[in-house]
Order: sequence, then structure tokens, then C-alpha cells
Amino acid sequence: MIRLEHVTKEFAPGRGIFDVSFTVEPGTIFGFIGPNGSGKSTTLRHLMGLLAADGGKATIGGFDCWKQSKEVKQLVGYLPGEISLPGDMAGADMLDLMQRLHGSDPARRQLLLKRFPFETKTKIRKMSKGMKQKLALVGCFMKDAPVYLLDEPTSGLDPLMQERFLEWIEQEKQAGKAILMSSHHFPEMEKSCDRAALIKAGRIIVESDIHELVRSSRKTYTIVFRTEVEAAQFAMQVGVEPNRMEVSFQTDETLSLNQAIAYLTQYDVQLIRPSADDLEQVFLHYYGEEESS
Amino acid sequence: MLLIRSLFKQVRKPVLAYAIGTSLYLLMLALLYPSMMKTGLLEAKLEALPPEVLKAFQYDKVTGFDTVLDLLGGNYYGLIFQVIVSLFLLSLAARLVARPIDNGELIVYLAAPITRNAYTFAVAIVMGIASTLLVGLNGLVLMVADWWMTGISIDDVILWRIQVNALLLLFAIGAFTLFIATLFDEERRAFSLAGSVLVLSIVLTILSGLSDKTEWLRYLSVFSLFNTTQLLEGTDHFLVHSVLLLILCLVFLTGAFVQFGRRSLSI
Repeated sequence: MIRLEHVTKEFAPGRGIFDVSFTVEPGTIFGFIGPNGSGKSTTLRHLMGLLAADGGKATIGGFDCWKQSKEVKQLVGYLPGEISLPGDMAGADMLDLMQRLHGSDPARRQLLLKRFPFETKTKIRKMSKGMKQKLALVGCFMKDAPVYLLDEPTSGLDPLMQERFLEWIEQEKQAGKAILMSSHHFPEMEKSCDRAALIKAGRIIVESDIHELVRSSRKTYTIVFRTEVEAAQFAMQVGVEPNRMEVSFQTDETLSLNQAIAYLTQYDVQLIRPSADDLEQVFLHYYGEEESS
Repeated sequence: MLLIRSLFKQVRKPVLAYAIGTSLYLLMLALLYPSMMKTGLLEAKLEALPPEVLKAFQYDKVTGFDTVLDLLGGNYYGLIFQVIVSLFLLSLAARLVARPIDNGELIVYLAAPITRNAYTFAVAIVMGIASTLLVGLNGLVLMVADWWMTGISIDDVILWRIQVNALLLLFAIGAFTLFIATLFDEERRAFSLAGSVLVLSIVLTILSGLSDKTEWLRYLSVFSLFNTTQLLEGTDHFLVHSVLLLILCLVFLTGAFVQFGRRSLSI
């Protein structure tokens, strides 16, 4: 449904996106992960027909995103990363305008306003970041589109709204929608995405099934010992620096978890804490590797 | 139609403010005209002014002040009108194009199934409607004043020749400001460039009146295509000026369509 083939756009030497390729099929959520300025929004702007590529091709539903942007936008619900809306308009007026421009469904709008409630009579200028985000989410999803492009969709939302958002996109996925979502929020990406691509400095570093990605990653563990001496001895064995009675280490091809457990049997271990955020580890792993290379 | 309505709604207040404000000014001058003529103070004061200043404001002592239009030729349709329409069109192009590009609000429209050509067309129509409202209301107010009061003696043909010429001038300047607004990502840069060109045009018109040697400078300014003194005297090149203004309008509009259609937008 969404297809990017070797898309390149160079704004300045080394700045832009380079040879970006991936596809998003109907009924899947594709996560687009990367640090600030890595090219996530630029990629989404290509898909929205806002930027012309120097090379390569972006299509949605078979339509060229630059040359047939009207047809493309008929298929797409778009949530931009920066919510810039006319400050003088009230939320309800903005939704009315969006509804008319997109031909959106009023019943869907009511349903969404129940899920993501906010004071629709408030002027946009007076809205908090979270309110504006909810307004933009309702505006985006009230269009019953087969494709959604979401740039940092949960930015500014409280945890309850984030949870509701995840439930909503899961429903949309079940309904066969193709969803491309960029985010820094790793737990939600891990929970919701089927596939993910990591982008850095405009280049895709890795693209894979999200569970495969997490499974293949290094894991970080923190061990709390009874004494600092024990912590220092273990730290020496695994080749890291201790932090008083705590030692944090990563498993990889040179140090398996079994090996570490074998070492630990010699000590009085108080606590073993695995890293909670596996996808973040994947990100840090690839990001760190690229930094050092 | 929805797009035009929505864009017009955004600029409705300033457009009405300009149209009503200038019309009230014209009405006030029209109402004061009979008493000003009776006292003869106006002519005495104008006699005291240097001819260069009078020329800059497009006063011509040859025609005198037989009608209120003669007074308005210098008191409104000269320098004041040039400044007002420049500000009016600069602010319209900024509100409808330059600012939405700069702050990203344009995405409200460009995320919808709307082509960039459709957006440019809608902006051009809104600017055209706004210009027509301003010039049309100015003309109507003067006609109403003429019907209502005695001693104003407005020639309707001259009045509407002035209004049509003024409207075409607004179309040309509007197309120019729209074209410049599509060139930049930053509103400030678009406003500065278009503003500088218009200020230069006004300065050239003023300088052209200072001496016979500098008179040719007038022809470097777009405002030379709207000469109220000549329109009042009946020595104008109404058709030529109208065609030239239309050509300028079409050239800049085409530029705006081409530029906005092919440029990358980081919104």
C-alpha cells in the first residue's frame, strides 16, 4: 500500500534522506524509529507530496506521491509532527473545516471525541499541547482512510490517552488499514508495530519484523550484590565498571546470559534487574554502533 | 468553493476594515468638500505648497477643484492610495500564503485532497474579491454621497474609470505579492522583498515629480499605470494602462502557479 523505493532528497551535503526503501502492507503497523533530525518527518513529507525527491519513488495505493498527490491524499489520513493550526479558530470549527475538506464521517468524529475528549469550544491558541494533539488525532482519524501517516502521534498525550491511542490503531489495523508511525516512544512502538525501520542521518540502518528485532538485540541486566567487593570482582569478569554494589552489563556474542549466570553463582546476589525497554536497547545498540564507526 | 469560502473567512476582518476605513475617509472628504470650497482655504493652502510636493501627491492646479474627484485625486488616489493598497495586498499575501508556509498551518489544506494549483487559484480569487470589495465600496460610497448631497458633482464615467483602473492596479500588485509569497519559506523574507519593491515604486513616483529631469523615473514604477491626474483631465491612456496591468497580473499569477506547484514545502 505504502511503498518507498530508493528515495533520496539532499537538502545540503550529508543532510536529507538517502536511498530510503520500505513497504507497508494493508493491515499492518510500521514503526519508523530514529533520533531527532534523522529524516523521519522528511520521509513522511515525501509521502504527502510536500517534497519532491531527487531520486527514487514514493507511492501510495499505486499513485505517485509527488505527481498524483490529490489521489494520494484521498487515501491518506495525516498527522503532522508539529501541530500548527490557526490559533483564532475554536477546536470545533477546525474539525468542521477538516470534515468538509476531507469529506469525513460525522459519526466517526463523535466516536473519536468520546475516546479523546477535549473542550472543543476552546480557541486553538488557548489549548495545551495535549489538547492540540487530541484535536489533531480526531481530525486525522475521523477520515476513514485506508492509509494513515502518523508523525509522533502520542507526543503530549497523557498515559491514559496513549493507551487509548494504541487501542484505536489496533482496531484500525484489524480493519485492514496500513499505518506508518514515527515515534520516540519505544514501549508503544514495541506494543503496536508489526515491523519497524531504524533511520539515522537519513539512512535506514535496519528494517525488520519488530519481534525479530527485539529478539536479536543485546539485553542489559543490572545486578545488585551484597558487598562492593563482590560487585568489583564480577565487574572484572564481565569487563565493565561497577557502580558501588551495582553492576550493569550487556549480553552479546562474547558474553551469553548463561555465562553471566555461571559467574553469578559464586556471589551473594541481592537483585537481578533486566532492562525494561527492549526496543530502546535495539535503538541504542544500532545508534551507538553507527556513532563509533 | 469551500476552499475560497474558508480562505476568505480568514481575511474577512482586515479586508472589511480596509474597505470600510478607506470608504469612510472618502465619505468624510466628500462631505467636507462643499464647505472647503466655500471658504477657499484649501486652494489658498495648496497655493503655498511647492509644485514638487503637489506633483508627488498628484495634485494638479490646472484642473482646479471643480468636483470632489479633483480633491480626491490628490488627497486619496495619489500617494495615500499607493501606500494603502501596498499594505493591503502585502498583508493579504502574507496571511494567505507566506505565513501559512512559514508556521506550517498550510498543512490543514494540503493534507486534504487539494492540489497546490487549486490552493493558488483560491488565494488569487480571494485576493481578487478583496480588491473588488475595497475599490467597489470606495466607488459606491462616492456615488451615494453624490446622490445624497449637492455641490459634489461627480462624473460617474470618470469615477468608474478611476475605480476600474485602480482595481486593475490592485490585481497586478496582488499577483506580484502572491508570487513573491510563494518563493520563500519565511514570511519575513517574502514581506521584505515584496515590500521593498513596492516602497521603491512609491519613492520613484515621488522622485519623478521633483524635476523635469527625473520625470522618467515614474515609468519604472507600476503606479505610473494609474495616473489620476490624467484620468481626471481625460488625457489618460486608459486602455493601454489596463492591458499592461492585466499582462502584469497574468505574468505574476503564472509565476505563482509554477513556483508554488513545483517547490518543496517543509511543513
